[in-house]
Amino acid sequence: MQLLLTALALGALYGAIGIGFVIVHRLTGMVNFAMGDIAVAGGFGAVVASAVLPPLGAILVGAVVGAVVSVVMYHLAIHPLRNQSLMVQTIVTLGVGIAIRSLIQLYFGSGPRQFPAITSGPSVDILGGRIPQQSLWLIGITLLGYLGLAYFFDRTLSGKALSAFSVNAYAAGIVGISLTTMATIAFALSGAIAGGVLAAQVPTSFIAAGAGLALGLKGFIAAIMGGFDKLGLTLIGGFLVALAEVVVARYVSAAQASTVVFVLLIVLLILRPQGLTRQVVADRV
Amino acid sequence: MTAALSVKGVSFSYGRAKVLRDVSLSVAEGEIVTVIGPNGAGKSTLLNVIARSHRLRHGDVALGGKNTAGMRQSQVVREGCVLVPEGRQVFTTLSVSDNLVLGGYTRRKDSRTKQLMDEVYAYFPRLAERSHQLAGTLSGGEQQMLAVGRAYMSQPRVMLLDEPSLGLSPQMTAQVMSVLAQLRAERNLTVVVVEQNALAALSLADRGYLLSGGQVMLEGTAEELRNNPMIQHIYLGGAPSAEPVSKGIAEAIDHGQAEK
Ligand SMILES: Nc1ncnc2c1ncn2[C@@H]1O[C@H](COP(=O)(O)OP(=O)(O)OP(=O)(O)O)[C@@H](O)[C@H]1O
Ligand SMILES: [Mg+2]
Repeated sequence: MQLLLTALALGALYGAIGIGFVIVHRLTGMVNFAMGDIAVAGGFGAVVASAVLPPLGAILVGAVVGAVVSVVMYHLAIHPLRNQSLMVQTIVTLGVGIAIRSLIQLYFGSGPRQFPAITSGPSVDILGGRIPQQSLWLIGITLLGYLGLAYFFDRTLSGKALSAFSVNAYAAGIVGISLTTMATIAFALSGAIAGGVLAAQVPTSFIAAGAGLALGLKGFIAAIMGGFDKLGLTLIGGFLVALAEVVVARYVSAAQASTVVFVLLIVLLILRPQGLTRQVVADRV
Repeated sequence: MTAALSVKGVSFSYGRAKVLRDVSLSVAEGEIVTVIGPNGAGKSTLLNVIARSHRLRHGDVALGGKNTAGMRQSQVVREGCVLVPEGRQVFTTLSVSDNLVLGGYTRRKDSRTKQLMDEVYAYFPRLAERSHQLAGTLSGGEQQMLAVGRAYMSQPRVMLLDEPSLGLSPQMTAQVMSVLAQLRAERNLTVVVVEQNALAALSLADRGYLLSGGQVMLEGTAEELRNNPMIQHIYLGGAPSAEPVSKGIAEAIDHGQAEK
């Protein structure tokens, strides 16, 4: 039970970052490997804001910072390359990730940072396991973000326009939907959910400038499990990645947890490239 | 009177392949004009350039006298010029009603969406019955209706249609064509329709252009084109008396095509 609870909280984080991958991929077809670092930027935004704001406000700032960094990245690095191949764009995101990481390190150093939880108090007992109150907040914020996004894509005109663009970019252009507008929205949403959820996790552990790469890769695995298409399955994928990680950390060794996760990635890519979904999404890529 | 749509000296190439050469045409408000021509003549390319799905590099396109140079695709739609593309291109994974709503994307700030949708459903009752169905599950003919309906949602003054009869039964084609005639009669809509089916197109249209090898080879009233020996040669198997003339011109066309 304890492992499940821990995995649930950690999985929410990986799932949220995975959702960030999925939103951008669905629209543009590229993989944004700077995702983890964008989330970390959001986390540090929250750390800074926590000096003057209560934790919940700081987390909100984290989401906004994630969104802003993501949008700026799109307009500076991706938009100018929109006529280049997806491969080129994807490689550029790796470079942008490194740049963001270095900038954060330059500003904040590589030491860990933290800020207080939203509600202080002892951990909560659930069916024999214990979970910090902040982790419940983290899970709640992730679910809220997920529901908000589901509503956005299903019910709002901009959400439908994004879906339309991913189904048929040519036809979307014909009805007057522009790539630049859609990409700006998609990058903002993906940065917001990743940054906001990571910010919500900061009080339960620490955040360090170098965290982005590993976080990004775990989110990437979650996104693969979601077939790079389904938000709900991506959340479940995040949970599975986290579960594998905590189980290995508990029964084998904490040092090997990450290695195991990456081996998992390779096995997954070989055995089930479509993730938890039924179809391969290769035709979109 | 300024033309609803005027195209002057438009050329276009895909890489090195020159597909349109100095194409000019002019369509008056409320007019139905057809562009006919053999496969690969550049008809689709022409419509895509006008609608700005393709970039306009050489020549001018004006809508109601307003030059569209420097306009983005969405602005061209807002100026009232909308494309019903070849192959329909509906949003297959979205519902019929969502497809229509998105057709009005450039008009999202005015609140007439509901009313416009009802108007579409009145023109195409079939779509009303299927409003919650996914567009990808519609028949070809229904998808064509949806494509026209989606275009209507942007409240166009000029509608460009690329082979709306492709793959449709004669009855279905007649139904779509009659809605176009109705739209012209009721809303003074200007229509440019590209067709393989030259006879169907010429029976609907006021005037027509023959495009071949990326060039305008002929233009005239529907009546003139129907009686033109070259058109008869290409589309009606050629009346014997017209053979020598049409053969010569047809060869010229083939030559034009070979060149590009
Ligand atoms: N994306 C493209 N890249 C390169 N060449 C193209 C492209 N699209 C069309 N062409 C070429 O341009 C020429 C004109 O094509 P276009 O689709 O405009 O013809 P069309 O008159 O619409 O033909 P059809 O009646 O078969 O639809 C053709 O020779 C075609 O091969
Ligand atoms: Mg064509």
